[in-house]
Amino acid sequence: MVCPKEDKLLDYVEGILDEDEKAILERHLHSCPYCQQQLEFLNKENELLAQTLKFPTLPEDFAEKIVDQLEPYKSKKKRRLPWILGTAASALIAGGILLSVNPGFAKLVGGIFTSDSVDEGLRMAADTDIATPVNQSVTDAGITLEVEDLIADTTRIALSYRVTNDHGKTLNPFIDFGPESIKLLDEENKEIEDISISWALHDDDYGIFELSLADIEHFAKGMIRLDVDHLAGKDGHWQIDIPVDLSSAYGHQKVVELNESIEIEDVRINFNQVKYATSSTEIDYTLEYTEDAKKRLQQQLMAKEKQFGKEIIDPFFPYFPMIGFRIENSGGEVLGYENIYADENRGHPVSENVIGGRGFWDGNPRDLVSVNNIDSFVPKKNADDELFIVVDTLYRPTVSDFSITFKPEELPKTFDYNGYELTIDSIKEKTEISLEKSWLPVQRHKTVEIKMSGFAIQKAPELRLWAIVDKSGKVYAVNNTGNSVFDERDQHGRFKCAIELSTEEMEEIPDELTLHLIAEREVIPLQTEWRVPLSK
Amino acid sequence: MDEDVRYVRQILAGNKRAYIHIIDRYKNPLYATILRMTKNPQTAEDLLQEIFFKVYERLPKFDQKGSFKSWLYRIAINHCIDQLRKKQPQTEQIEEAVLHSNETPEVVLLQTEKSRELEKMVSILPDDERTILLLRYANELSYAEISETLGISLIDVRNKLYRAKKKLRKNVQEGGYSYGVSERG
Repeated sequence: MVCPKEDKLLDYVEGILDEDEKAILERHLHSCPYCQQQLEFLNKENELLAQTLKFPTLPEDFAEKIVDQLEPYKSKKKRRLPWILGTAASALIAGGILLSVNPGFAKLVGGIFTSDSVDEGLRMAADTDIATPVNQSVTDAGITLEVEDLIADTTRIALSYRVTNDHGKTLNPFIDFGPESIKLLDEENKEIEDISISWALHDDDYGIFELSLADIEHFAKGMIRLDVDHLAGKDGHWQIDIPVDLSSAYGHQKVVELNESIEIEDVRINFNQVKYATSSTEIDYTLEYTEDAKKRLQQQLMAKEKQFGKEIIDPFFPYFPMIGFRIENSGGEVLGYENIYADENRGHPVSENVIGGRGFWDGNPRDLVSVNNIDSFVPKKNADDELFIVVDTLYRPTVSDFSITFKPEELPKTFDYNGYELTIDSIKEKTEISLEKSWLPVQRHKTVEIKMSGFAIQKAPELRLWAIVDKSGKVYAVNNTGNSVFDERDQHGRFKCAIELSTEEMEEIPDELTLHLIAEREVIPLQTEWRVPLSK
Repeated sequence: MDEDVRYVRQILAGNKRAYIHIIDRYKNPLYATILRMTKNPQTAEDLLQEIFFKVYERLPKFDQKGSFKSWLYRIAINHCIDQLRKKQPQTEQIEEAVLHSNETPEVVLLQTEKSRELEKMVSILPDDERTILLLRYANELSYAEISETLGISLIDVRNKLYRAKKKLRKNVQEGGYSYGVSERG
């Protein structure tokens, strides 16, 4: 072999030759002292470039100075919703019966659970005997993990901890948690499966783990095991077992069976139970379509599948109905709500005093099965309050036949639909290049994005599921990547809104295309509100 | 999980101090790069601060499945280009004192000879070639990351980088200082 060109040697040094070329070049290098010398030079050249061009450096405190000027992001509590329902999730409430508390135990727990940083339910529980100081710590690799306090309720268990170094300085408490690092064990040390766990940072210094017991049949006694191998940037092993006993919490808990049901439009609502726990009040209810409604929706779904294909409709269809309701006392004072338009100045559903919400169902969503919801609220503060749930809104999917055809060159294009005035502002290709270290092949990830903006008269309906069809009849699945209704209004009082759609299936933007709206989520404010007492 | 993404999640969960890790990781290579784009230490530091504020503000928009590094560099380089466009170009070299001010005398001494020559040559490269050189060697970006940051093809990255390196060698030789290159092939 003749000596390779310099560019080839550079490719080799830069690590961008393919395997075959690399093998050939390496064979040559073995027998060519000249090229070996060249190669050595090229490597040194890279070293010198790196050495030179990495100077100068900034002072140590550069980052501190910047971060001091920043506002922290507001911590968002994880709220596990096992289905996709968009931003508005399920229903709502607050209220409950004030629990009798042994004052002798009050104020046992200090620290983060008594601060404004945690939700009001935990704060209320911190003053009761279901809250206990733990004060257990373990040190490894110069890092100490200390669990401070525990709140063990029948609905959820929360524990607070801090991370410090040898000098007692508080460090970042983040734990990249998974099933291995935090477990709930029963009395036989058997792990409780499928438990939902969230983590949040509070006041910069405290980490709080919260374990939801909503999925668990019954748990009375056992322990939480923290087993961490990476903490504050260091590898090590930190294990703490924290005993958990819910006897006190069960003593305070009151469960009221409701068994109330009603049909609104074509949705049947069953209110099953209210659980008044120390740190939350949980409302358990089920939503299902009436047989007629189910049949009708299934027929419409099948027609859309025939038109656009099953794979396009199936994963994105907004199958489930939802309700909006509020909690009131007998004087009509609203104590909590979710998914309702309680504030007329807002263009989207709002919530108040909500701690969390979950939904469960069996089988395939496309069979339009019933959904069991559990929503939890801050406990009521006035023991004498008699509470009521007032259902005032229904949300359900509606199949739509709306479509609009446009040519990319004629954008922006404005259209009206169902209380919306929307403008298709742009359709654009976006290319992401994969960041593989290898030279070739490079993965290109291309999407086509459509942006719309405008105003909505009617509050809330969500134009949810779309498809694109080109002139040849080819159908492209569309992800609805953003569907926003803002507080801001125009001079006619309409709410500003924006919709962003994207498709990954389009090689090129066609000369002409049709956007089909397949399904929207309709909001129905109820003419007659439904009111049921929460104590029997 | 990418360590940067882990920090981003912490920041978005309310822990602004996690941002220190990200700044500390990128501040020096970025400063070295921006300094050679602006030729002025104060402007470079100001621009870098603006970049870190901008990145922080945009964190909720970062797609956590993507590369944080590429995303950050795209914001950084675009911000510099935008700002520099508004200002008169400066052509002077960066003072040596600035380049080595944070180093111990020994290191400065070792650096001086070759680095000074190289620095001179880098400063007279066309902007695009200099930027690619800096992204590759000061910031250790891969070809794909440079391609994504600057919005040019991978072939362009390679060709411009090689062209820049050849120019450096040629200039160094013409300037009477050779660091051992031989022309052949």
